[in-house]
Amino acid sequence: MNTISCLIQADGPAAGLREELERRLRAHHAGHLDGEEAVVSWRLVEPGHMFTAGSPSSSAVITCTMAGPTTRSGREAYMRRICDFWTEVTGCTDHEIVVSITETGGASPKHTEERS
Amino acid sequence: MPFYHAVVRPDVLAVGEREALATDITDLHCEITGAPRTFVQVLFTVDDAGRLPSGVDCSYRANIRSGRTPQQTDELTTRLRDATVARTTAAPSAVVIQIQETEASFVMEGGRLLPEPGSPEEEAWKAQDQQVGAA
Repeated sequence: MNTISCLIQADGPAAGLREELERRLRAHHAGHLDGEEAVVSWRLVEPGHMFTAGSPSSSAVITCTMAGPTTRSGREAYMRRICDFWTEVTGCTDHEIVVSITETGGASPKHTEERS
Repeated sequence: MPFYHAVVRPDVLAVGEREALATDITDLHCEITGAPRTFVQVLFTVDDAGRLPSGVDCSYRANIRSGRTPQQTDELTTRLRDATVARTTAAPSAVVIQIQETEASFVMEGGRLLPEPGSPEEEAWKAQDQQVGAA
């Protein structure tokens, strides 16, 4: 099952627009991936817990998982569209949106675990 | 990206120190990698549910662009631990750091795919970010 996880600021505009954003995310995902469904989840960050460039954050972080392999152009189109409707719905700027894709069934990200 | 997510035990990091530690993390990441500051995200989660393992007061998952050198990764780890120890009550041995690398073309930020570290595209990206920051 594909997933879309949205980390948003509890006091930001996206928090009150989740229903519309989720509808758009589902429709976009299905349209881009031949009707595939995605489970959308939300995490609200309370003020004082997240920072961008060392200052209180207004960013949204959207993490999408889908079956790999994906192409660079396909990923770019997929993420570009999310940025477009996210800014349209919320009024935020491109610089307040981070979108990433994680492939399932592909190569795992590299990890470095360290403890002292 | 980079995205630093810290899970901390209650009372280990004072509320008033969160922003200072986030600034420390931003500073060290940018000094080591040359990345623009506006891309550094830091999230703190307080472990009210007690899910951290015994002996761990602060656990980081740092998601950074792939392509950094081992020396850069080692320095990130060392300086992140030092900054955390300075801003919290955690001992060095109670700070766990996991670094996960993601290929740049899997992330869009500022409306563009992130450039590969050290690429010609990265220089243009940094210049554009400076213009945004100055606006």
